[in-house]
Amino acid sequence: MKKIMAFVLALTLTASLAACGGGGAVGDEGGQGDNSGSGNEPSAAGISLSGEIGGEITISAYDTMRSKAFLEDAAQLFEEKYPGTKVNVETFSAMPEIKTSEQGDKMMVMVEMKDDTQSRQDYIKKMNTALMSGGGADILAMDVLPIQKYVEGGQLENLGAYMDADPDFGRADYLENILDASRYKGGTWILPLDYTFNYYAYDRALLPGASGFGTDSAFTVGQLMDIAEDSFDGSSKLFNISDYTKRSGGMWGNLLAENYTSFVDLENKTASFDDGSFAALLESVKEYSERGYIPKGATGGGDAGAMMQRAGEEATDRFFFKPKNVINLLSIFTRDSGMKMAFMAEGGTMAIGDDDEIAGIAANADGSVPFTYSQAYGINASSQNKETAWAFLRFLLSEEMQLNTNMEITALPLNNAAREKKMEATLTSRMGEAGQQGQPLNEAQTEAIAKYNEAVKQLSGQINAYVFEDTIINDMISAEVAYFFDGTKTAGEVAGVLQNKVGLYLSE
Amino acid sequence: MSIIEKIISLGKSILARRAGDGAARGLKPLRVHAGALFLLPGLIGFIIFYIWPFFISLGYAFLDKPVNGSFVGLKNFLDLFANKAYLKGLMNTLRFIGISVPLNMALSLGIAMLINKLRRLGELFSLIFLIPLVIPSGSMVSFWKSLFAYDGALNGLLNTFGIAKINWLDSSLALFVMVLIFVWKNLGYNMVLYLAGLGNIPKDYYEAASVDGAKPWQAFRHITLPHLAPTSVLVLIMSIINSFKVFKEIYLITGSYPHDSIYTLQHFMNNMFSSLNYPKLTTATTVLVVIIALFTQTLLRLERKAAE
Repeated sequence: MKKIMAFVLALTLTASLAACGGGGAVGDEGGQGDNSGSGNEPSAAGISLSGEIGGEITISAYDTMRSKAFLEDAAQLFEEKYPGTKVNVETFSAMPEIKTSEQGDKMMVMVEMKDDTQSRQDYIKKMNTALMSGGGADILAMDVLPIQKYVEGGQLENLGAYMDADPDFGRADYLENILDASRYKGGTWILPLDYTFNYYAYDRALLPGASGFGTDSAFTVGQLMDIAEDSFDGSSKLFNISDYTKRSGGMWGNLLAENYTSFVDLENKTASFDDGSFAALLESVKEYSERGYIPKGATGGGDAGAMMQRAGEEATDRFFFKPKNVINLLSIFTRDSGMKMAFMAEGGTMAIGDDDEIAGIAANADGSVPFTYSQAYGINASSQNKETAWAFLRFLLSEEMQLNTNMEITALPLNNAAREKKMEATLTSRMGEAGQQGQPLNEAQTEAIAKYNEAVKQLSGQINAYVFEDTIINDMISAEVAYFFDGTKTAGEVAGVLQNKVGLYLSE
Repeated sequence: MSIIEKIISLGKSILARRAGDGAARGLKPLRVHAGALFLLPGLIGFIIFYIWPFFISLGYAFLDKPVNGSFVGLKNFLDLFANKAYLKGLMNTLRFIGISVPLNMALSLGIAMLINKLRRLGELFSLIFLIPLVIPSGSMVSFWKSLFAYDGALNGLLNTFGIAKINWLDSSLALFVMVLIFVWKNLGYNMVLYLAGLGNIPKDYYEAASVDGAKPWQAFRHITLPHLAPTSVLVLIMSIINSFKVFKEIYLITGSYPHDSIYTLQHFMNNMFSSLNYPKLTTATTVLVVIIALFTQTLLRLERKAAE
């Protein structure tokens, strides 16, 4: 009896322990760099497809703004194309808030996408619970879900096997280096629908006779800082990246992203924050700021007025280098073609100046060139209708869907045919002057689009990595680094704490 | 006749009938105490909510992954004992129990003896020491946070004396913060148990001892301690159970990944739950059940010996 009592007591205690807590975000983590795949590989066995497409599938996404309209369009068209199918679309996040602010004769419209941590975590928990009980949507949008954990837990299908088994899927129809870069642990678990990348522009007036720059080059911020440092005389700043912002971006955010793999090795589950290089990187940001190389960070955050004021200040300053996104790459080629572009993203600090030229694509410190996506999807390993789910994913990559107007405007389609058409469509749709829209392209415009296409091709061709972000580690880093920038802790203390916490997290 | 009485009489009549039937068929009469019937609802609940889920989840401990997993034998158990975070959690938990439980027992016994000696205000002091027990953890967490934060009240106080700031929560000192919170929270509870134990020791023993010229220490050593042995076993078990509960406060103050000196088994299990690693979670739980079962078994034996 005593033995039974002891067991019962032990069980009660353990059960009550397991019940407490229960909070905490699920982190998405993963590898970065050349994801050609190695290590302890989850099963990636080949599959055979019967070609039977039918029945009901559900697709679940967190990001309502990016996914909902697009997926609903896709669902409708898919159902028409494959009678007997039913596609349910579920999205969860709240739509963004739109604010307008006027200063003098200028008006700024801000679309504020709030990162509601609680809502994001609730969604992740909901998905986790569903997946753990063998349920969940057939297709999962990989917008906030912990990809790496799902791969390790066997919750995702290896899409590479479907690509190989499906005669209707030709890898060559898509940007293969992006497909290759999306691989992780020997499989393709996510299928990006589009991609985007960052590049750096340099001011040709400040760096006359500069060599080594172009669409076939790749640079880190650190490398460009070294190049411009010798020419610094105080009249122009080296980079138009502010020193530190609590949000992503800023010089600190850029440097961290570039060096992520040297601090966090997700594949081998080790952290290296205490070897001095992390502290040195933190110090370097302060040093850049103190020397006047870069502007001071805006502390106002989401205040539209403060942002406008800062944009105004930056417009009058000159910078050796500027970080740019593929979104405004077109302007470099159209600025001399007599076209007036009407596109919001090309105003303010995003604008391409008259002297801005492409320096090269943004690279990581390890030499890899990363991309990001606006939408990517995976198939739930517990799905009862995987073949239809795969057919739907393949449909999302079709030219028809890749050119859908609800597809993210700022990203480039993965489908090669669609990409070239979208680039041309982007050019014509951005022509602001009355009477220009719908007109055939003139010679200068045709030449501009040809150059633009070539530049995109060359820059995209360099991409060979995808950064699987780990929100738990990123949250730990953000929280600690804030103490360094507000002067509460030294760089060494911050590095020590991070080594401890991240190391612990990775060793679990 | 109240409902309870009706149930008792019904239970008795059923048992009597069964006994009669059994005797008619040459069987031994079934002897079931009526109390067993009253235990039944609780037992059913316990089986449904504790035993059954435990055995269901136990299956995960032998699978490689939670969904469509395959049997891997004892691999998860071997992996667990090679897992650095688990071992750290285990060591920290043992270290915390090793420090906090004896400290708490000693302090609560000391205070119970002091209060026991008080002729007046004894109840008032008991009440004061019981207050932490009824304050919700959530409301105390903000207090502890503001006290021990790097920019917190304690460092502010140290600063006024010219002492450098101390990183209470992100250094090895965090363990002492954890012990402090545990002692603060549980002192009153154990003290009440000891007060009850002390109240049960006949006063005559002490009087007889003082007549024989025993010193206070000798009276404590030879009268108080032996008579408090059963209480002490109970206090020990309750303290160990409560030592696991301190996780709630620590989790709310320092989150899922605190300084590694206060990373306990509960952190490990909680994080495994959050990160979907059910095989690892259930393996850790199973090991803990075995450890606690062995430990409780030993304690119950000790109690029996002490009672003899």
